[in-house]
Amino acid sequence: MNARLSVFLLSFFLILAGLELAMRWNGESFHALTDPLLIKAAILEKSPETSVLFLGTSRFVDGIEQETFAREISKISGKSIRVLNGATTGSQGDRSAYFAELATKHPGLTHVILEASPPALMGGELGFEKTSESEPAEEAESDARKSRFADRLESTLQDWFRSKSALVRHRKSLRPKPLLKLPVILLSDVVDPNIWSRKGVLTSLISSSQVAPESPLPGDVRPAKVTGGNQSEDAIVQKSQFKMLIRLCEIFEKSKLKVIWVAPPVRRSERSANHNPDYTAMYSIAAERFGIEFLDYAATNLDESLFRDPSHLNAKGRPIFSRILARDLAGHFETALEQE
Amino acid sequence: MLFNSITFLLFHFLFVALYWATKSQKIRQILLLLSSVIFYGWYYWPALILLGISMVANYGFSLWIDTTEHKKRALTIAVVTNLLSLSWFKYSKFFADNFVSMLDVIGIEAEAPAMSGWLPLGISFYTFQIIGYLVDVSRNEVKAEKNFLVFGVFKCFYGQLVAGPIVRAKELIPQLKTLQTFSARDFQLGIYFLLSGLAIKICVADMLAQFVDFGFGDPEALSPAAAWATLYGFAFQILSDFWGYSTVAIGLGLMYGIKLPLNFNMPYIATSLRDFWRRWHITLSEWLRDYLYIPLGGNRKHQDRNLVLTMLLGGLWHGASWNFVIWGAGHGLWLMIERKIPRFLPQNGFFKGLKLLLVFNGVCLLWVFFRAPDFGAAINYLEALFTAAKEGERSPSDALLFILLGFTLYTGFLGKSLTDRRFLDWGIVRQVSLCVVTLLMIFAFANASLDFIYFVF
Repeated sequence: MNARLSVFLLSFFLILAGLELAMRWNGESFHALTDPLLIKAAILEKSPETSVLFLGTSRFVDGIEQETFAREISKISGKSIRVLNGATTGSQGDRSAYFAELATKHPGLTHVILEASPPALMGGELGFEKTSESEPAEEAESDARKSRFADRLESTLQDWFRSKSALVRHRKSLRPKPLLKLPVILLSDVVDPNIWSRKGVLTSLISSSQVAPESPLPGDVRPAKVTGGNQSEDAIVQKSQFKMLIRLCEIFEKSKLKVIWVAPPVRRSERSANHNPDYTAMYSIAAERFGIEFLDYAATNLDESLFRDPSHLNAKGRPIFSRILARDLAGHFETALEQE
Repeated sequence: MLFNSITFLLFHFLFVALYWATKSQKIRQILLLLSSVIFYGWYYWPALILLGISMVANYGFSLWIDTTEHKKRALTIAVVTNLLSLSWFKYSKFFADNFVSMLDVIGIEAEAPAMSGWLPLGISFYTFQIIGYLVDVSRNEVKAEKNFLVFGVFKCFYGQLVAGPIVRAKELIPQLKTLQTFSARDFQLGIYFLLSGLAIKICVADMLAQFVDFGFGDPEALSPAAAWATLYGFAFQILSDFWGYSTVAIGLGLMYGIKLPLNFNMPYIATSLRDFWRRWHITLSEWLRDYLYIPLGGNRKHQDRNLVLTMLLGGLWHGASWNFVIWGAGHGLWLMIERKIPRFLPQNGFFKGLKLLLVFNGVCLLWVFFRAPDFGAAINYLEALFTAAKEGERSPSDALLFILLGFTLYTGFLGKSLTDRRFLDWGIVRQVSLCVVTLLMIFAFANASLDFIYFVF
């Protein structure tokens, strides 16, 4: 074997060994790259000083600017807080429950602000493995069908490589799309992670300068504070969604976290199609039973120009709603900080 | 055993290690034959019986042709026997169905006999390869190989057994009879070809397959733009699938010190259909030229008939379906017309580009018949290509366009390196980084093992 081939093979295997080690040391980060929710969970985990977490769907992704919210709270209360907008697009269901469980174990977290909207409680299977050591479900399922010796051997070899090599185990994170999300985790301390993840959000980098941070907020935009009142659980139509809501409440009930439900604004002209009274009833009942505050902005008269579609705010509306929310919730943080 | 499986890679490197560990040529030949038999039987072991019979029979035929004075008669018997075997497994159902349909037309009711749909893996490839060998022996271009081990490896070397390249005896047998010395350069090039071929198959062909299956499954739902994108997707899928396989085959051969012929040379940059067939499935094109077109008369007499007939049979070689016949006939007619049109266009870059686009799109349109399950489906797809967009039809997927663009760029920058030995002239940093990135891409996109398209031909 000549020297050049030896150098080639040695360098080739050394690089692979280096990658293998890097992936072993950062197994959770590479595992996280395959799902937006896991990315948010990884960001939360690597930031113990984060004290406020937003959880929800695209309505929160488009509606909450974590930096603006933190700055506004700091301005009002005089104390600085660290905020993470952990919302991700799509239906949540089990995914919210998974993130909620993680949030209860986070040492620095004091407040969780949950999106109160229909998609936040709908469907949503987990769609990923809980830990980086788990076997991928789809592959395990296909392996179960193997009956020939040749297929069983191939399946056993694949399992063996998966169990021994982080490079093989996290191989899907090497695809271009997930790999491009690595900066989201690495730069999460500097740049709002949501900037990378949703169409239109990136434009806020350009357009946010047009929205003066000190501009006065619309005074008439106040949330409807909803309590249980005389709502009856039997009248709820969407039983499975109600069950999911109760499940989330129970997860947080065991923790010391302060939980606040927030229904994001909906465009006035299309409110009837996007604001389901059944959901308002669900949240009201849950709020009453678990003593959770529920702020309903769905019926507020926010200017129509601040929406990019009936239920999502645009780059202009995002900082305004973030400041409105900070203004309305500042009292909580003042109290919490005083108690500390 | 699939090239894109862990079992195969372990198997291959084990036999390569054993091969170079021994200095005995006989043991090396035994190792090559043994590995090829295991490789073929791994997929479906009963197929070994047919392969074994074919091997023994053709070994006998070749010796007979070589020694008899009635070479033509011996060759005819040998070729007919091989073609009958191929026809039985590949075309019997097709012929029976069509015969029954014909009887139906003239009012006779009949039912086609129930037939097994089993097609021995690679039968079209190894049948053509052995027919070429028998013809070469009859023409005294090569001597019939007396060493059964060498003949066996020529017949079923696992690198090219199931999907080519179709190798000539004069190219492969001398290499099998020579005690090869280990070439570090060939081994290194073999690794590059193996990795690149797998990457092309896994990251391009298998990724495109899902879009193509989806699009051809429901062409009515596609907008014209989506239909064209899906068609380009298939053009690239079949290229990357087969090019990937052939590249892996060449790489495997190089690791044993065996040089297999090039099968693809950037076919979609062809500026004429003739040029296309010099770049696409080169070993089949050359086989058809040398063993069919020229014996039919070639350019000397009935050139048009010879061209159309050769391409029509070439189409039928791909599968037992009228669509393949139409596809082959389309290529034959186009080649015929192309020869008649004077080369009046100037040879500058603009017109070259224009011809490239015309040839590529023409080839793509004929791919419709190749890919569609039947004639009706092909016509439906052609309608989707040329009918104005309607509301609610699907637009081309971003991911599909991304893959098409990515593969075009890859072919532009690195395609040539898979047609020659230029990889060996690159710096070590470039070589290593390219191989590492290629391997990582294979890891990232490797999915449940998908067969190669040409396995069914």
